[in-house]
Amino acid sequence: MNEFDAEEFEAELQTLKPAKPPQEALDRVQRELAVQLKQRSQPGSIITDTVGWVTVECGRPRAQHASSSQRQRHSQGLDRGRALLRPRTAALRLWILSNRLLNKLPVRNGLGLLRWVRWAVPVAAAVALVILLLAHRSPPPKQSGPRPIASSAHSLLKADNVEIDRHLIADFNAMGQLPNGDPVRFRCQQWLDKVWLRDSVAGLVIERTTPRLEIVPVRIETY
Amino acid sequence: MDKWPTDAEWQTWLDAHAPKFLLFARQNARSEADAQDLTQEAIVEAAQRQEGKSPPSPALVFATIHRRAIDWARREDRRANRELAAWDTGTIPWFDTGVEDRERAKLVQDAMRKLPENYRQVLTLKVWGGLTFAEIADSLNIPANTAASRYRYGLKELRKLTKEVFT
Repeated sequence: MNEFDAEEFEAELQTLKPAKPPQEALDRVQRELAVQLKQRSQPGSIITDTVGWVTVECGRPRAQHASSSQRQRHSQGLDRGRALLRPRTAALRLWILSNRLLNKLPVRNGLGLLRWVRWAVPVAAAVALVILLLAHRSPPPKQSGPRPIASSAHSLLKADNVEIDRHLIADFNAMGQLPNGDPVRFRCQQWLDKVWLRDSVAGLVIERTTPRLEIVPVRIETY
Repeated sequence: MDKWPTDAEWQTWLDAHAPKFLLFARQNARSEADAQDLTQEAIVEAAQRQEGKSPPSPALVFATIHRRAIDWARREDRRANRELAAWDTGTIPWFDTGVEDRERAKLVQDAMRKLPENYRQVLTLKVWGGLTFAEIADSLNIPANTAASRYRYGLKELRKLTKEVFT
Protein backbone atom coordinates (compact mmCIF):
# COMPACT_ATOMS: atom_id res chain seq x y z
CA MET A 1 0.00 0.00 0.00
CA ASN A 2 1.60 3.28 -1.05
CA GLU A 3 1.15 6.68 0.71
CA PHE A 4 -1.73 7.69 -1.55
CA ASP A 5 -3.59 4.48 -0.78
CA ALA A 6 -3.12 5.09 2.92
CA GLU A 7 -4.65 8.54 2.69
CA GLU A 8 -7.50 7.27 0.60
CA PHE A 9 -8.13 4.41 2.99
CA GLU A 10 -8.04 6.82 5.93
CA ALA A 11 -10.56 9.05 4.19
CA GLU A 12 -12.84 6.06 3.63
CA LEU A 13 -12.58 5.08 7.27
CA GLN A 14 -13.46 8.62 8.27
CA THR A 15 -16.78 8.29 6.51
CA LEU A 16 -17.77 5.98 9.35
CA LYS A 17 -18.90 8.17 12.21
CA PRO A 18 -18.39 6.98 15.79
CA ALA A 19 -21.67 6.02 17.42
CA LYS A 20 -23.15 8.45 19.91
CA PRO A 21 -23.10 7.28 23.51
CA PRO A 22 -26.47 6.22 24.92
CA GLN A 23 -28.56 9.18 26.06
CA GLU A 24 -28.45 7.85 29.61
CA ALA A 25 -24.66 8.03 29.62
CA LEU A 26 -24.68 11.55 28.22
CA ASP A 27 -27.20 12.61 30.87
CA ARG A 28 -24.94 11.16 33.54
CA VAL A 29 -22.00 13.18 32.26
CA GLN A 30 -24.09 16.34 32.15
CA ARG A 31 -25.30 15.76 35.70
CA GLU A 32 -21.72 15.31 36.90
CA LEU A 33 -20.64 18.46 35.11
CA ALA A 34 -23.62 20.33 36.59
CA VAL A 35 -22.52 19.23 40.06
CA GLN A 36 -19.04 20.60 39.33
CA LEU A 37 -20.61 23.83 38.09
CA LYS A 38 -22.69 24.12 41.25
CA GLN A 39 -19.70 23.50 43.51
CA ARG A 40 -17.69 26.16 41.71
CA SER A 41 -20.49 28.70 41.96
CA GLN A 42 -20.62 28.28 45.76
CA PRO A 43 -17.95 30.46 47.36
CA GLY A 44 -17.70 28.23 50.43
CA SER A 45 -16.31 25.30 48.54
CA ILE A 46 -13.57 27.45 47.07
CA ILE A 47 -12.76 29.12 50.36
CA THR A 48 -12.22 25.77 52.07
CA ASP A 49 -9.26 25.25 49.77
CA THR A 50 -7.51 28.32 51.13
CA VAL A 51 -5.08 28.15 53.98
CA GLY A 52 -6.92 30.60 56.19
CA TRP A 53 -10.08 28.58 56.36
CA VAL A 54 -8.24 25.37 57.01
CA THR A 55 -6.57 26.98 60.00
CA VAL A 56 -9.85 28.19 61.42
CA GLU A 57 -11.61 24.89 60.82
CA CYS A 58 -8.80 22.96 62.47
CA GLY A 59 -8.77 25.26 65.48
CA ARG A 60 -12.43 24.94 66.28
CA PRO A 61 -12.71 21.17 66.76
CA ARG A 62 -9.56 21.19 68.87
CA ALA A 63 -11.28 23.53 71.29
CA GLN A 64 -14.48 21.50 71.15
CA HIS A 65 -12.71 18.23 71.80
CA ALA A 66 -10.86 19.49 74.85
CA SER A 67 -12.05 17.70 77.95
CA SER A 68 -13.93 19.58 80.61
CA SER A 69 -11.03 19.26 83.02
CA GLN A 70 -8.67 20.75 80.43
CA ARG A 71 -11.07 23.64 79.89
CA GLN A 72 -11.36 24.12 83.63
CA ARG A 73 -7.59 24.20 84.03
CA HIS A 74 -7.32 26.63 81.14
CA SER A 75 -9.87 29.04 82.64
CA GLN A 76 -8.28 28.75 86.07
CA GLY A 77 -4.93 29.70 84.59
CA LEU A 78 -6.44 32.72 82.88
CA ASP A 79 -8.12 33.85 86.07
CA ARG A 80 -4.88 33.49 88.00
CA GLY A 81 -3.04 35.50 85.36
CA ARG A 82 -5.64 38.24 85.48
CA ALA A 83 -5.45 38.29 89.28
CA LEU A 84 -1.70 38.64 89.11
CA LEU A 85 -1.87 41.45 86.59
CA ARG A 86 -4.45 43.43 88.55
CA PRO A 87 -2.13 44.83 91.30
CA ARG A 88 0.55 45.51 88.71
CA THR A 89 -1.83 47.58 86.64
CA ALA A 90 -3.00 49.40 89.70
CA ALA A 91 0.59 50.16 90.69
CA LEU A 92 1.36 51.49 87.22
CA ARG A 93 -1.69 53.75 87.31
CA LEU A 94 -0.70 55.01 90.74
CA TRP A 95 2.82 55.69 89.56
CA ILE A 96 1.65 57.63 86.51
CA LEU A 97 -0.78 59.64 88.62
CA SER A 98 1.88 60.48 91.22
CA ASN A 99 4.30 61.48 88.49
CA ARG A 100 1.77 63.85 87.01
CA LEU A 101 1.09 65.43 90.42
CA LEU A 102 4.76 65.74 91.31
CA ASN A 103 5.65 67.28 87.97
CA LYS A 104 3.09 69.98 88.58
CA LEU A 105 4.70 70.95 91.93
CA PRO A 106 7.42 73.64 91.76
CA VAL A 107 10.94 72.48 92.79
CA ARG A 108 11.70 75.62 94.71
CA ASN A 109 8.98 74.87 97.27
CA GLY A 110 11.32 72.33 98.84
CA LEU A 111 9.39 69.44 97.43
CA GLY A 112 12.22 68.33 95.12
CA LEU A 113 12.79 65.47 97.50
CA LEU A 114 9.43 64.12 96.41
CA ARG A 115 10.93 63.37 93.00
CA TRP A 116 12.89 60.64 94.75
CA VAL A 117 9.86 59.56 96.71
CA ARG A 118 7.85 58.92 93.55
CA TRP A 119 10.08 55.96 92.82
CA ALA A 120 8.93 54.45 96.07
CA VAL A 121 5.48 53.80 94.60
CA PRO A 122 6.55 51.49 91.72
CA VAL A 123 9.13 49.83 93.96
CA ALA A 124 6.40 49.07 96.48
CA ALA A 125 4.18 47.75 93.71
CA ALA A 126 7.00 45.54 92.41
CA VAL A 127 7.60 44.17 95.91
CA ALA A 128 3.88 43.43 96.25
CA LEU A 129 3.93 41.66 92.91
CA VAL A 130 6.87 39.47 93.94
CA ILE A 131 5.11 38.56 97.17
CA LEU A 132 1.97 37.65 95.24
CA LEU A 133 3.94 35.52 92.81
CA LEU A 134 5.64 33.64 95.63
CA ALA A 135 2.30 33.09 97.32
CA HIS A 136 0.82 31.60 94.12
CA ARG A 137 3.80 29.35 93.57
CA SER A 138 3.16 27.44 96.76
CA PRO A 139 1.63 23.99 96.01
CA PRO A 140 -2.18 23.94 95.84
CA PRO A 141 -4.00 22.14 98.62
CA LYS A 142 -4.75 18.49 97.90
CA GLN A 143 -8.29 17.73 96.81
CA SER A 144 -10.14 16.25 99.71
CA GLY A 145 -13.56 15.94 98.00
CA PRO A 146 -15.19 12.74 96.82
CA ARG A 147 -13.72 10.97 93.80
CA PRO A 148 -15.64 11.15 90.53
CA ILE A 149 -18.52 8.70 90.36
CA ALA A 150 -17.41 7.21 87.05
CA SER A 151 -14.00 6.16 88.31
CA SER A 152 -15.35 4.72 91.55
CA ALA A 153 -18.05 2.78 89.69
CA HIS A 154 -15.42 1.50 87.30
CA SER A 155 -13.34 0.12 90.14
CA LEU A 156 -16.37 -1.34 91.95
CA LEU A 157 -18.05 -3.13 89.03
CA LYS A 158 -16.41 -6.45 88.26
CA ALA A 159 -18.42 -8.64 85.90
CA ASP A 160 -17.86 -12.32 86.68
CA ASN A 161 -20.23 -13.59 84.00
CA VAL A 162 -20.64 -12.19 80.49
CA GLU A 163 -23.04 -13.65 77.93
CA ILE A 164 -23.30 -12.62 74.31
CA ASP A 165 -26.22 -13.84 72.24
CA ARG A 166 -27.48 -13.22 68.70
CA HIS A 167 -31.04 -13.90 67.55
CA LEU A 168 -32.00 -14.04 63.88
CA ILE A 169 -35.37 -12.30 63.79
CA ALA A 170 -36.02 -12.26 60.04
CA ASP A 171 -34.36 -13.39 56.81
CA PHE A 172 -35.72 -12.23 53.47
CA ASN A 173 -34.71 -11.16 49.97
CA ALA A 174 -35.57 -7.91 48.21
CA MET A 175 -35.18 -7.08 44.53
CA GLY A 176 -33.96 -3.77 43.16
CA GLN A 177 -32.50 -2.24 40.02
CA LEU A 178 -29.11 -0.59 39.53
CA PRO A 179 -28.92 2.77 37.69
CA ASN A 180 -27.74 0.94 34.56
CA GLY A 181 -30.82 -1.26 34.62
CA ASP A 182 -29.17 -4.43 35.97
CA PRO A 183 -31.31 -6.28 38.48
CA VAL A 184 -29.83 -6.67 41.95
CA ARG A 185 -30.90 -8.86 44.83
CA PHE A 186 -30.55 -7.72 48.43
CA ARG A 187 -30.20 -10.39 51.09
CA CYS A 188 -31.67 -8.89 54.26
CA GLN A 189 -31.22 -10.33 57.75
CA GLN A 190 -32.61 -8.78 60.89
CA TRP A 191 -30.63 -9.62 64.02
CA LEU A 192 -31.00 -8.91 67.73
CA ASP A 193 -27.70 -8.78 69.62
CA LYS A 194 -27.86 -9.22 73.40
CA VAL A 195 -25.13 -8.79 76.00
CA TRP A 196 -25.52 -9.66 79.69
CA LEU A 197 -22.99 -8.55 82.31
CA ARG A 198 -23.45 -10.08 85.79
CA ASP A 199 -21.64 -9.01 88.94
CA SER A 200 -22.72 -11.59 91.51
CA VAL A 201 -20.81 -9.82 94.35
CA ALA A 202 -22.64 -6.55 93.85
CA GLY A 203 -25.83 -8.36 92.76
CA LEU A 204 -25.89 -6.38 89.55
CA VAL A 205 -27.05 -7.45 86.07
CA ILE A 206 -26.64 -5.21 83.03
CA GLU A 207 -28.49 -6.24 79.88
CA ARG A 208 -27.99 -4.53 76.55
CA THR A 209 -30.08 -5.31 73.46
CA THR A 210 -29.17 -3.97 70.02
CA PRO A 211 -31.28 -4.55 66.89
CA ARG A 212 -29.24 -4.84 63.69
CA LEU A 213 -30.14 -5.10 60.00
CA GLU A 214 -27.69 -6.67 57.56
CA ILE A 215 -28.23 -5.95 53.86
CA VAL A 216 -25.94 -7.64 51.34
CA PRO A 217 -26.40 -6.77 47.63
CA VAL A 218 -26.00 -9.74 45.30
CA ARG A 219 -25.80 -9.24 41.54
CA ILE A 220 -28.08 -11.62 39.72
CA GLU A 221 -25.50 -12.44 37.06
CA THR A 222 -23.15 -13.81 39.72
CA TYR A 223 -25.42 -16.85 39.97
CA MET B 1 -14.23 31.87 27.52
CA ASP B 2 -13.42 32.94 31.09
CA LYS B 3 -16.50 31.67 32.89
CA TRP B 4 -17.60 28.08 33.41
CA PRO B 5 -19.46 26.93 30.27
CA THR B 6 -23.23 26.82 30.42
CA ASP B 7 -25.30 23.65 30.13
CA ALA B 8 -26.03 24.44 26.50
CA GLU B 9 -22.34 24.88 25.71
CA TRP B 10 -21.55 21.60 27.40
CA GLN B 11 -24.33 19.92 25.42
CA THR B 12 -22.87 21.18 22.15
CA TRP B 13 -19.38 20.14 23.16
CA LEU B 14 -20.55 16.67 24.22
CA ASP B 15 -22.49 16.17 20.98
CA ALA B 16 -19.35 16.97 19.02
CA HIS B 17 -16.79 15.00 21.00
CA ALA B 18 -18.43 12.33 23.17
CA PRO B 19 -18.79 9.76 20.34
CA LYS B 20 -15.07 9.73 19.60
CA PHE B 21 -14.22 9.64 23.32
CA LEU B 22 -16.43 6.61 23.73
CA LEU B 23 -14.93 4.93 20.67
CA PHE B 24 -11.44 5.42 22.11
CA ALA B 25 -12.59 4.24 25.55
CA ARG B 26 -13.91 1.07 23.88
CA GLN B 27 -10.38 0.36 22.61
CA ASN B 28 -9.08 0.58 26.17
CA ALA B 29 -11.85 -0.86 28.34
CA ARG B 30 -12.76 -4.42 29.10
CA SER B 31 -16.50 -3.96 28.72
CA GLU B 32 -19.05 -1.54 27.33
CA ALA B 33 -20.04 -0.44 30.82
CA ASP B 34 -16.41 0.27 31.65
CA ALA B 35 -16.01 2.23 28.43
CA GLN B 36 -18.96 4.47 29.31
CA ASP B 37 -17.71 4.95 32.86
CA LEU B 38 -14.21 5.73 31.59
CA THR B 39 -15.61 8.33 29.22
CA GLN B 40 -17.69 9.97 31.93
CA GLU B 41 -14.92 10.08 34.51
CA ALA B 42 -12.33 11.31 32.04
CA ILE B 43 -14.56 14.16 30.82
CA VAL B 44 -15.33 15.26 34.37
CA GLU B 45 -11.70 15.02 35.46
CA ALA B 46 -10.46 16.91 32.41
CA ALA B 47 -13.14 19.58 32.96
CA GLN B 48 -11.98 19.99 36.56
CA ARG B 49 -8.41 20.43 35.39
CA GLN B 50 -9.50 23.30 33.17
CA GLU B 51 -10.65 25.12 36.32
CA GLY B 52 -13.79 26.42 34.70
CA LYS B 53 -12.19 28.36 31.88
CA SER B 54 -13.41 26.30 28.94
CA PRO B 55 -14.31 22.74 27.97
CA PRO B 56 -11.18 20.61 27.93
CA SER B 57 -9.26 19.90 24.75
CA PRO B 58 -10.03 16.50 23.18
CA ALA B 59 -6.35 15.54 23.53
CA LEU B 60 -6.57 16.01 27.30
CA VAL B 61 -9.69 13.84 27.53
CA PHE B 62 -8.10 11.12 25.40
CA ALA B 63 -5.01 11.16 27.61
CA THR B 64 -7.17 10.94 30.74
CA ILE B 65 -9.12 8.00 29.32
CA HIS B 66 -5.87 6.21 28.54
CA ARG B 67 -4.36 6.85 31.98
CA ARG B 68 -7.50 5.80 33.80
CA ALA B 69 -7.85 2.67 31.69
CA ILE B 70 -4.35 1.61 32.72
CA ASP B 71 -5.22 2.21 36.39
CA TRP B 72 -8.42 0.21 36.06
CA ALA B 73 -6.69 -2.65 34.27
CA ARG B 74 -4.18 -2.91 37.10
CA ARG B 75 -6.74 -3.23 39.84
CA GLU B 76 -9.64 -4.98 38.15
CA ASP B 77 -8.08 -8.17 36.85
CA ARG B 78 -10.47 -10.14 39.03
CA ARG B 79 -13.37 -9.21 36.78
CA ALA B 80 -11.52 -9.97 33.58
CA ASN B 81 -12.86 -13.36 32.63
CA ARG B 82 -16.54 -12.65 33.04
CA GLU B 83 -16.46 -9.30 31.34
CA LEU B 84 -14.14 -10.30 28.53
CA ALA B 85 -16.66 -12.97 27.64
CA ALA B 86 -19.38 -10.33 27.53
CA TRP B 87 -17.06 -8.10 25.47
CA ASP B 88 -16.44 -10.83 22.86
CA THR B 89 -20.10 -11.52 22.35
CA GLY B 90 -21.10 -7.87 22.51
CA THR B 91 -23.10 -6.60 19.61
CA ILE B 92 -23.01 -2.89 20.38
CA PRO B 93 -22.12 -1.08 17.14
CA TRP B 94 -19.18 1.32 17.28
CA PHE B 95 -20.33 3.40 14.32
CA ASP B 96 -23.51 5.23 13.36
CA THR B 97 -24.33 4.08 9.88
CA GLY B 98 -27.11 3.90 7.38
CA VAL B 99 -28.37 0.62 5.99
CA GLU B 100 -25.92 0.66 3.07
CA ASP B 101 -22.86 1.13 5.30
CA ARG B 102 -23.87 -1.27 8.04
CA GLU B 103 -21.95 -4.22 6.65
CA ARG B 104 -18.83 -2.17 6.07
CA ALA B 105 -18.99 -0.72 9.58
CA LYS B 106 -19.42 -4.18 11.07
CA LEU B 107 -16.42 -5.45 9.15
CA VAL B 108 -14.26 -2.54 10.29
CA GLN B 109 -15.38 -3.08 13.89
CA ASP B 110 -14.55 -6.78 13.72
CA ALA B 111 -11.21 -6.06 12.06
CA MET B 112 -10.35 -3.44 14.69
CA ARG B 113 -10.99 -5.97 17.41
CA LYS B 114 -8.47 -8.30 15.85
CA LEU B 115 -5.73 -5.67 15.91
CA PRO B 116 -3.34 -5.30 18.84
CA GLU B 117 -4.50 -2.73 21.38
CA ASN B 118 -1.65 -0.29 20.71
CA TYR B 119 -2.52 -0.19 16.98
CA ARG B 120 -6.21 0.28 17.73
CA GLN B 121 -5.51 3.17 20.07
CA VAL B 122 -3.39 5.07 17.57
CA LEU B 123 -5.75 4.38 14.68
CA THR B 124 -8.75 5.58 16.67
CA LEU B 125 -7.03 8.76 17.81
CA LYS B 126 -5.78 9.59 14.31
CA VAL B 127 -8.69 8.57 12.10
CA TRP B 128 -11.70 9.34 14.30
CA GLY B 129 -10.15 11.48 17.06
CA GLY B 130 -8.54 13.87 14.61
CA LEU B 131 -5.34 14.20 16.62
CA THR B 132 -1.90 14.87 15.18
CA PHE B 133 0.95 12.44 15.83
CA ALA B 134 2.39 14.87 18.39
CA GLU B 135 -0.93 14.96 20.24
CA ILE B 136 -1.24 11.17 20.05
CA ALA B 137 2.26 10.87 21.46
CA ASP B 138 1.31 13.13 24.38
CA SER B 139 -1.95 11.31 25.00
CA LEU B 140 -0.43 7.83 25.01
CA ASN B 141 2.88 8.90 26.55
CA ILE B 142 4.93 7.48 23.68
CA PRO B 143 7.38 9.07 21.20
CA ALA B 144 5.81 10.68 18.15
CA ASN B 145 7.81 8.37 15.84
CA THR B 146 6.38 5.34 17.62
CA ALA B 147 2.88 6.76 17.21
CA ALA B 148 3.48 7.26 13.49
CA SER B 149 4.89 3.76 12.93
CA ARG B 150 2.09 2.13 14.91
CA TYR B 151 -0.36 4.05 12.76
CA ARG B 152 1.25 2.84 9.54
CA TYR B 153 1.34 -0.78 10.66
CA GLY B 154 -2.16 -0.59 12.09
CA LEU B 155 -3.60 0.93 8.94
CA LYS B 156 -1.89 -1.72 6.85
CA GLU B 157 -3.27 -4.53 8.99
CA LEU B 158 -6.73 -3.03 8.94
CA ARG B 159 -6.55 -2.70 5.19
CA LYS B 160 -5.65 -6.37 4.88
CA LEU B 161 -8.54 -7.42 7.07
CA THR B 162 -11.09 -5.27 5.25
CA LYS B 163 -9.92 -5.47 1.64
CA GLU B 164 -13.11 -7.24 0.59
CA VAL B 165 -15.19 -4.12 1.22
CA PHE B 166 -12.67 -1.34 0.57
CA THR B 167 -11.44 -1.12 -2.98
